[in-house]
Amino acid sequence: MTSPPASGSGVLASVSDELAGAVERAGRSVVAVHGRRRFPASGLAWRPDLVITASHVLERDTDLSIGLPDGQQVEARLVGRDGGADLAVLRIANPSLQPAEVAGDEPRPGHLVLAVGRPGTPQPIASFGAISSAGGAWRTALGGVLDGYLRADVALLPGLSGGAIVDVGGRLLALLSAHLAGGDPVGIPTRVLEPLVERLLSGGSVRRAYLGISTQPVELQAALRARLGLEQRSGLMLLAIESGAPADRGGLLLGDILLAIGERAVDDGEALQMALGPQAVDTPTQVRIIRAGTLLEVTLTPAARPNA
Amino acid sequence: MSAVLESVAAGAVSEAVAELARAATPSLALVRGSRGSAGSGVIWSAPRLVITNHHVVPGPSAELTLHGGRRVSARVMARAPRLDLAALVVDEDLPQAARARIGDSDALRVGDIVLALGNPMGERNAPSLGIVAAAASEVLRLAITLRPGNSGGALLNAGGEVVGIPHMVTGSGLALAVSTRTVERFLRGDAEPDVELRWI
Repeated sequence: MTSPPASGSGVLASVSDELAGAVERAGRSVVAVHGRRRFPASGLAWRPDLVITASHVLERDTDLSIGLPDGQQVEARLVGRDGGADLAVLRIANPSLQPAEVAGDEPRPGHLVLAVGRPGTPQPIASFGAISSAGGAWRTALGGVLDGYLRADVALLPGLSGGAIVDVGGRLLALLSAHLAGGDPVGIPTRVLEPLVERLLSGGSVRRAYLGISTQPVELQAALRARLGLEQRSGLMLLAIESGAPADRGGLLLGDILLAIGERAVDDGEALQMALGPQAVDTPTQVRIIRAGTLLEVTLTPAARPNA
Repeated sequence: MSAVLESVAAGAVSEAVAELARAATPSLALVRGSRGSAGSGVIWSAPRLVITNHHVVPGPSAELTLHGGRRVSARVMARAPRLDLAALVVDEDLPQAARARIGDSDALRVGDIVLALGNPMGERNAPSLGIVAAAASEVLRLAITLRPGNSGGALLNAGGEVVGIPHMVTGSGLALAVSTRTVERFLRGDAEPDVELRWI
């Protein structure tokens, strides 16, 4: 075999060195999270005594432990979790963690990234790819609403959830989850993580509000809109109402068409989720509906979503 | 961003990958087994030795198509089914220039760049770029997209040396390779190491 020119091979060897170095640096802040029956998942050192991870990798709330980069395994306590954001915060007794170094710049599509985890392995694991998109507010596959996301075409190695998406310098860009978008690798960017973690630290688990209804978007016919003086073009028809749930207690009936919750028009499922944020829990709220061709206002008190 | 990726044009990295693939291509053979199977093989460092996967050559003999199109016949000299390795001996000396440079698979670190060369989906000498995904051992765990036909091909490090034989795809973007350390043990006739060819 002929040797490749030194310059060409040298460039690639340097890039290879840098990627391996980035994995090593990032790996100092990536831990193993033991909280399920299968092999462990990954977690990120957020502060010297705090680890953040993906909520879905914790099958239980107690008997949790963290595998440190040096191989030690230490007990951890669940501080709080937010199922909709797939985020959990754990605390260890001895503040010995090296918090992840956060990248300064927001990545753009095409930027090269590494996904780094430590599913109970002595050394970190990693996959490589590019940012495919970076965006703003969205509703996760788990029902949460987040203010931003990063998608990257990194391979989802087993146990990578709860690990880091880092730049090629090894600096943290996002917390990785395989469940937030239904099986695709998606990251919660650090700027979105900060307030979420603070909220979990100050108030325990983040609650989502719920009404106990299943709905279907329906287009409001022109004649009906004209008769009721409505601008809104669609609403949500109630197809099922859970017995004893807030909607049931508030007197909603099958076939009612939901138009607005408080000041917020609900013309599709996403708008409904946005209206049912933590602020709505236990707050009596005026709900606007159409029943039998007539506008009605009903007062409902959304409850905290069970198992959120 | 990292120093190198900042200081060199991305085009230089791109050229380097293409050059790596081009330079290694003469070491790659298309292998056809006696029962209709097909895959890739690597011309090893000895004059008549080709390494491929056990499952690519189920029978006692195989036909190789070398770089440039010449066909030679080969016999299976040894096989290690659990490692999915087979050693083929061809009937004539292969050119010195076609022999692969064998690298040190133990020196691989997580994050290191690797390039797989094979004959996936009927494409000759197709490169796939990836990285080492987990600490190197007898089995290399890779974040790379491989396809049927990559089996038995060459896995190169960033210096163009062979560090493994791609073995199988274990998931979307995940693959295993048998490390050259394991291949060398196989060639020495050591007992098959207790290796499990699976991701976890």
